[in-house]
Amino acid sequence: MSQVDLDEEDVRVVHRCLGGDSQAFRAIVLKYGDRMLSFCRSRSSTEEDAADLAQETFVRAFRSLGAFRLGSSFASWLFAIAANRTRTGWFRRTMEAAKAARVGAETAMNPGEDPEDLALRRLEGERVRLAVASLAADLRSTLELYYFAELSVGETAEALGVGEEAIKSRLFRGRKKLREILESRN
Amino acid sequence: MTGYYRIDMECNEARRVVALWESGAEFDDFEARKVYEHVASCPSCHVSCSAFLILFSGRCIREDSTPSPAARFLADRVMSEIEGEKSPSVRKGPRKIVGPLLAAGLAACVILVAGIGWRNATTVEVRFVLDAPGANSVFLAGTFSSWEPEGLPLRRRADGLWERRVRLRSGRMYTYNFVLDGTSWIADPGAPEQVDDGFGGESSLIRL
Repeated sequence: MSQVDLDEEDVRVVHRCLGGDSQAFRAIVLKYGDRMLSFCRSRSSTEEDAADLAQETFVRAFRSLGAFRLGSSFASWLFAIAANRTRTGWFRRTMEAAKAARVGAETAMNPGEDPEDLALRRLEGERVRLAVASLAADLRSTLELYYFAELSVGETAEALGVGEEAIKSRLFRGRKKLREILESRN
Repeated sequence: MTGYYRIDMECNEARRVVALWESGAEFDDFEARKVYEHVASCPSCHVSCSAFLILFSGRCIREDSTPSPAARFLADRVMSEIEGEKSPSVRKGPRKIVGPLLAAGLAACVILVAGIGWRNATTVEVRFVLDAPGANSVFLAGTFSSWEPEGLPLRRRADGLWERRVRLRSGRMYTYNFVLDGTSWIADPGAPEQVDDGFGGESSLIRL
């Protein structure tokens, strides 16, 4: 397996939860919440869907904590659960039904920002996310885990069960392909 | 005029670096953050560097680890849902690995790694076999295929069993499911280990 830096804080929280302190799990949600939301937005059609998927993922992770192997990366395990969730038929149907409603949440308006400029940024955000979604499954999942979930190369490799060299290659090919897609749609 | 020249140079430099990145070049988060600061604040670079802007938004914005209001709200929702639940407990250890000959004797669903399959220093050929007489299609989905539900089809053999051979790297472990008729995800009943899939079901685990 890939070598990843194990987070002692994660291990401590998992131990506490397994020892009966369920409230300790809040630290996990706060730590990974923003990254999880970012990842889930890449697989969801609306902000509400992304929040629901993120919540569901954390709840399932909590209930499955006993299956987490101490010594492996918690982030890899957590985001593998999220990625697995999005492969179900129910999830795909739900997402396709509401695809048109997606808005790039990273384009939150800054104070004083021109609404026209904001609208343009949202459109661009949507265009990029659709381009990522159109990539081959292996490239898409790699880019989403590395960039949206902010996993390291090693953690992405562990989450997908492949080697680090394969992840580097996919990142390289994914960016090139993304550029081709975006240029062809200009 | 000095200010305009400086901004132009920043745009040119930012776009040059982003173009290199799009062509495959790597740079670390520190470098990315420097470029991001310009691109995010420059309306003319938003469009031309949109892929960079979107992909690096998380890594570059979250310089500190302070959770956003959305993450705090999410934590409240999660903790509310699990409130009152029994704490998770450590699962029992994995089942003992069933030897290939014994597994074959079960004649239900077996993975043959050594013996029938072949092995070299880095790869192993694994044969996945499933007895599912009522299925119209069977696919194999796992960590080795990014969980793509229709990536690895099994073929129905003359004896009715479904089969697929896959070459996998040795020294690794993989989890997987069979996908029946595009809707039913089932664990491999003949696999040596089963693990929680996080969704109320099980996935199978093999170590090569």
